[in-house]
Amino acid sequence: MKLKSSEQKVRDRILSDGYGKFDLVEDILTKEEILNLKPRIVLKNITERLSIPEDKINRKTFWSWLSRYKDSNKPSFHHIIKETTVNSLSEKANQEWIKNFKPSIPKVVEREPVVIKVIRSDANSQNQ
Amino acid sequence: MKTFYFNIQSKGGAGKSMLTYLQALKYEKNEKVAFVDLDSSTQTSTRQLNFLAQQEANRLFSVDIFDHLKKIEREKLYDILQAFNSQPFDEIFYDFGAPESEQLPSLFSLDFTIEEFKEFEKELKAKFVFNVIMSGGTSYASTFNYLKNLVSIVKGKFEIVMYLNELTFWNYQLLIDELEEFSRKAKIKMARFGDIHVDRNSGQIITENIRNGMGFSSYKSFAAKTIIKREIAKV
Repeated sequence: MKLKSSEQKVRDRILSDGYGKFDLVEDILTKEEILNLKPRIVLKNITERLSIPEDKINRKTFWSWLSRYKDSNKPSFHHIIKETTVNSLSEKANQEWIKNFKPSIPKVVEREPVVIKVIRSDANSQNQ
Repeated sequence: MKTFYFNIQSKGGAGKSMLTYLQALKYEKNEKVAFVDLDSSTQTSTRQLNFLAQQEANRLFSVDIFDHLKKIEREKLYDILQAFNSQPFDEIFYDFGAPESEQLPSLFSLDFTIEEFKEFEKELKAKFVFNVIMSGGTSYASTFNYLKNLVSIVKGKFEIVMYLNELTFWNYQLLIDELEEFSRKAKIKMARFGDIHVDRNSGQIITENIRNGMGFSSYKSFAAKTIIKREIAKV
């Protein structure tokens, strides 16, 4: 199978001996796919799309990279705390609003039944 | 084995309901084929397939698959497919609305995996087919992106058929060539429908009949009848 030049670049990098073998994976898979799919599925997607035999990829290297990738793409918790602190100190009105804010009581989630309606033109719709 | 066809495209006005109408006309006399309107926002198929609603057998259904947060509730989709699997139909066509279609890929990539959906298909002993409607002109980019995304998620595990709405591809031969190339490379089927000239008398009759949910017997004009026959043969 003929690969596009961008795919070829990613393939060459993965099969190279140097560091950063998986640095270009984002060119063929979306961040969402890398973060949400199961690791073996991510690996399969890479090998299939780039026609790389699975044994040519060192699994340990792949797992380490994926784990680092997931860590570095986590939302920064410290950053969020910091921002909130700054805002709440600078905006006194907000403080007042937060003090008075009452959360609504969450409704007990009930399972909604699936209603399949039969469509008939000679009578009113009836539920099945 | 039952076959479930999902008529999908997240871009509104691409031609989902028109394709569903042509499929319904094709199987107008076949009571083993049912149609389900999943488009809760417009319910176009419920109106356009009125000729099925006039039949003695129950063959037209409507279901709302959104939960109270306006998101597809995955269990609902499973329940619906399971419910229809136990009905005496060989083929069932599901007309998804634009919002329902938009959420479908997330259902397979985030909420669920495509492998799990494949397992479900096996359990039902059914076959799922995704009919993706493609529109030309200014809608081309968005309809194409939807198809591309679906192809990458489905990964060859299900049959995908790309349906070109010919009406919207007039004067866009280059786009058709591009789609042909894509269908070859992605190994998906390509079909066409909707070669109806709305500026002609026949086109106006067909449009009027579709809007009013009329069956095949309502086509009295020879030209309109011939064109609609041609269209039925394509789907």
